[in-house]
Amino acid sequence: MEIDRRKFFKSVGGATAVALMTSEQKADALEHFMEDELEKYALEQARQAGQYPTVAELAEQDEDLARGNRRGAGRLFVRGPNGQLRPLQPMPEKPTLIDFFKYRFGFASTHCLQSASRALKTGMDEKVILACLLHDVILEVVTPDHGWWGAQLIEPYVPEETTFAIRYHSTLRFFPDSDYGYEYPEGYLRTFGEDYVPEPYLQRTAEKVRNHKFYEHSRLVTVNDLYAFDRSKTVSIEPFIDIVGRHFKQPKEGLGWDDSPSSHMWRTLINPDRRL
Amino acid sequence: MRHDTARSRLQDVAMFVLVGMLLVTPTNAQDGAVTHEGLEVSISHLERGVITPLGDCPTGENIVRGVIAPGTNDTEFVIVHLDFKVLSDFEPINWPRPFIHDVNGRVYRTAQTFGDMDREPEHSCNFSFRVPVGMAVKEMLIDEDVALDLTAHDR
Repeated sequence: MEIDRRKFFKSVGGATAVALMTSEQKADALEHFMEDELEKYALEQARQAGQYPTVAELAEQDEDLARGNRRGAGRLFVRGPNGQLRPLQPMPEKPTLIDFFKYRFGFASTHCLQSASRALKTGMDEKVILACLLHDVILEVVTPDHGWWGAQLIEPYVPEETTFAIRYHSTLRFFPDSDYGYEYPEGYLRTFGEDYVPEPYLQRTAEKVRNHKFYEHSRLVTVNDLYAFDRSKTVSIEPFIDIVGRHFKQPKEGLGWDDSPSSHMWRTLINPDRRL
Repeated sequence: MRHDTARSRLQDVAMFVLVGMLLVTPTNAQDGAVTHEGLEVSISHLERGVITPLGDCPTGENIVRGVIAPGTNDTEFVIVHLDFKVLSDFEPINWPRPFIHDVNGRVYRTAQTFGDMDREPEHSCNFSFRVPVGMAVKEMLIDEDVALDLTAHDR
């Protein structure tokens, strides 16, 4: 396999970072880089050939007990493409939502900011924009059923439309809706299998949500979600500070320390290394 | 006799004009650019398929694609490819999402949107719409009231 030196150096933080590594660390980083590249290559080959795994094949992969982690682990708890955990800075004593964007939301931050930016640009309701801004931040903690987890995280602080939108967006992503131009993502054929059929609980939930007065709020999160994977775009939190100020009830004690029903989840974000 | 000859000539001319029209129609369709808000917009071509790129316009590095779920065969994507030329009087505005009408007047929508349209002086992109298989499409509307004829491209 040919190694793209520039790409490898970039993946580990540049030539200076490589110079500071021990030989063992370099070997580890290179191994992880090559694994990552091989996986991307295989996926691209499969994509070009229109080949996707089946549900059974994916389930077989999950039986590999030598894996570093299970698939549902949040981004804070798994190694990145450089083979290392993301370094974390200490949080302020009374952290605000914006502080979590600065110090804890990594991938989720970029993705959610892109999504919210798109909602803002297309003139959507501020409660929808806020939902887009927060819809995937829970992926830093946990990924399965993340709509429900994500809604719990923010429920004490936001309007009910925003909570609803976040709770059900992950379900609605499995169901195309041509009235809004929402299509089934090709990536799901790879992630869930080409023969995947949403489980009965998702079917039931989708049916319930379709008939709800806040359906559009949740659907619009999926409409913006689908398109928010453009790595060439970087978006600042600045355009959303006023919307956050208007719709997010920031506790004076700081998130995590206000004894709300989801304070423990914010504390987990603050200190993901806490033993128990 | 002279009458028959005249009729024959008339038929020849009519045939010539008809053939000429048929030959010219695709060119007209490709030249059917509209100018709107300082942008020249024309349809490059139209295609149909079950998998489609879903990037916004102009196209960035978005690699997300949409699919018609395997096992379903009642719908397909109509993918409209557009060419844009930025003119000197262009001023950035937020256009709403485009949509299309089929020949029966039904509306089909997309989640794709227009972005920074002056990022490059000339660029191309596409918008996708899920329609019933084989449904003939009539026109694409951009910014609500600017219609681009799709019929000549939908063969």
